[in-house]
Amino acid sequence: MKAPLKISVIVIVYRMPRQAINTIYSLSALHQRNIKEEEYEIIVVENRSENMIDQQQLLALGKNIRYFSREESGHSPAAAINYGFSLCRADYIGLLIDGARMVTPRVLEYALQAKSIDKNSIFAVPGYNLGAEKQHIDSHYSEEKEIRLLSKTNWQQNGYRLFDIANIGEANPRGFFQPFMENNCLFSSLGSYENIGFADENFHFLGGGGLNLHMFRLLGTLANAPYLFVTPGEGSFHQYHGGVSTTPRADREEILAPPRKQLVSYWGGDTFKALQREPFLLGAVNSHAQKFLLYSSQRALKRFERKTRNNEPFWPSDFKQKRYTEHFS
Amino acid sequence: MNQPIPKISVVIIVYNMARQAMNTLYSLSPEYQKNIDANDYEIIVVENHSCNMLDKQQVEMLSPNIRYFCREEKGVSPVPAINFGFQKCRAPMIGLMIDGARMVTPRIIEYTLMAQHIDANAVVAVPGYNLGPAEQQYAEQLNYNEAIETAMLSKTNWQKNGYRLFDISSIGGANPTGVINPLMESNCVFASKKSFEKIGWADEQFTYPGGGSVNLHIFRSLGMLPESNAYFILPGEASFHQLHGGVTTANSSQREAMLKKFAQQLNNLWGVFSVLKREPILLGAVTSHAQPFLKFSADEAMIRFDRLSEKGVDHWVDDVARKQKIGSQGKPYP
Repeated sequence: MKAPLKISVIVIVYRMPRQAINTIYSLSALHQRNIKEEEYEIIVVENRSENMIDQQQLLALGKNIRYFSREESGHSPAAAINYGFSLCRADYIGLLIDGARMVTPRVLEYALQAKSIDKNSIFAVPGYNLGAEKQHIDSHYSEEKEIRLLSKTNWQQNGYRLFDIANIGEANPRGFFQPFMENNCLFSSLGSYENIGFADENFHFLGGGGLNLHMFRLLGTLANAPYLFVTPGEGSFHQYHGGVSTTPRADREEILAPPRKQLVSYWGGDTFKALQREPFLLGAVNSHAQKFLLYSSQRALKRFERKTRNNEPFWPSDFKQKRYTEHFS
Repeated sequence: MNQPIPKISVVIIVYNMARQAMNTLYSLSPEYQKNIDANDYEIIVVENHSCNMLDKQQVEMLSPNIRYFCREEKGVSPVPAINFGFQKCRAPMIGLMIDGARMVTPRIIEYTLMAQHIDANAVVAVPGYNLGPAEQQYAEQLNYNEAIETAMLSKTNWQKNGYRLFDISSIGGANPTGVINPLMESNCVFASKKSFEKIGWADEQFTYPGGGSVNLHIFRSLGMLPESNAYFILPGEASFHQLHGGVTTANSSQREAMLKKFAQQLNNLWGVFSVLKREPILLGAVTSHAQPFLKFSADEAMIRFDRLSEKGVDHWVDDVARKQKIGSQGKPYP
């Protein structure tokens, strides 16, 4: 009898074949270390467009890749995500809502370690952007530039080199010791995803709107999720693909306003608040990632000082949990 | 009544340091350690007879999971006491604290249990620090002494929050450039009982005062075992050395000569002894108190990586050596 699968990774793809092939390569056993192909599966769900993945090219990347294309009349990936959930054969699931995000070589190894400690907790890989500056700000950045940058890096041989050509992501702009707004490479148990009702299909806006932020905060608020695992030495790297919030465009704010409103209506308050839980580090930090650890540590010290000065708790979202984390106030 | 079998046994060696050892034992006790159950672990105290002994009753009152043993020792090395302690361990994983004067932070047991979940043969190393401004041998010239340390400790109210010990400490001599660069040894190290058995427990050749280099020898031996695939460092936790009349940390005119003899013994065993150069997997949260040291460590790690890259030397030569020896499982780390 075959051993049961340990992880299912869902990757949602829409109109980004080149980027998605890079992403799937980075998740495949060709690139991931210390995990075997037969221990996990990659479920690629592509919403149909005029610019689709070459299925043959995709499936050649590994025997553990399963490809599904589907019709989608709406603008949100929520239904595609739920379709992906329904296909998962493992009880531990990684979700990449944006197929344009490549990952480093030990994401799956450490996800398995997190699973063995507590599978219902969140395991989050910090986000980065390829390029020297944030993609929605840099009007000189282009897909051609990125392709040249990637090809020079020879990342296929060593995915950690992606850190050398990247900057810190918008979801964690002050490093990984400060609260994450969301996470684009997120793992938890099937049970935890079920507990939050999977992907809420009311998030019908372009790109899902605030869906990913909503899911991250819901998962992090579950009472039976004692830890927030964060990988200090792994990353998910956003490739340029004309996505909603990552492309420079004049009407960006206009487009982003209604989804923000939707999110706030779910959680109350004036603005959406990030999950504030003490991050639990898991993983090695090699030479390429080290500068981001230094940066994160510098930013952490600033936040701790500010919170101490203002007599505010460091990690208010931990108060629901029964376990001890660093409480201050 | 049958007591449940613990998951971890911590062996702590005490000699002529009653006050310091009481602090250490409190820091290991379930009252102070967080997110654990007292039944998860046991603390095995082995004290060599001296004129400054622990009060057995007082020790056992600290916690139901403490087992105290006192023994006569004619020699000057803790090695027989360590091996005596190993014999008493009931758990499949053992923590060794060769120097009873080292207090620890509140989540070392929790995190070691997690490492054990990941891999039953994991090696877990807790970085070392010194209470006060520097290593013990410099205390005198810095006008630092036991009275100052005692006053400082009582002001810190560390019993309520052990992470505050970082605020009154300096980085330890075994990891002077931080917790990511290679550790020479760890004074609070965990490995499976099987692994300790495989390295031959504590080698009784180490007969010098304080065991000489036995702790360095144990640390490297454990780290190089084929079973020890998972090598964890706890970046936010620590063991803190308290002043006492210890051997390599005390000021003495014969210090240099003695250290030479210690090093010679190690080289005789290893050819040329080198510290364990393996890439550590970081495990655990880093509190506000520990964060300045992580920043220091990241800075120092970058300096080391740059230096080695310039020379074309692999960053973690012992990872490479282990893989060559045991055959590559998975792909090699570039």
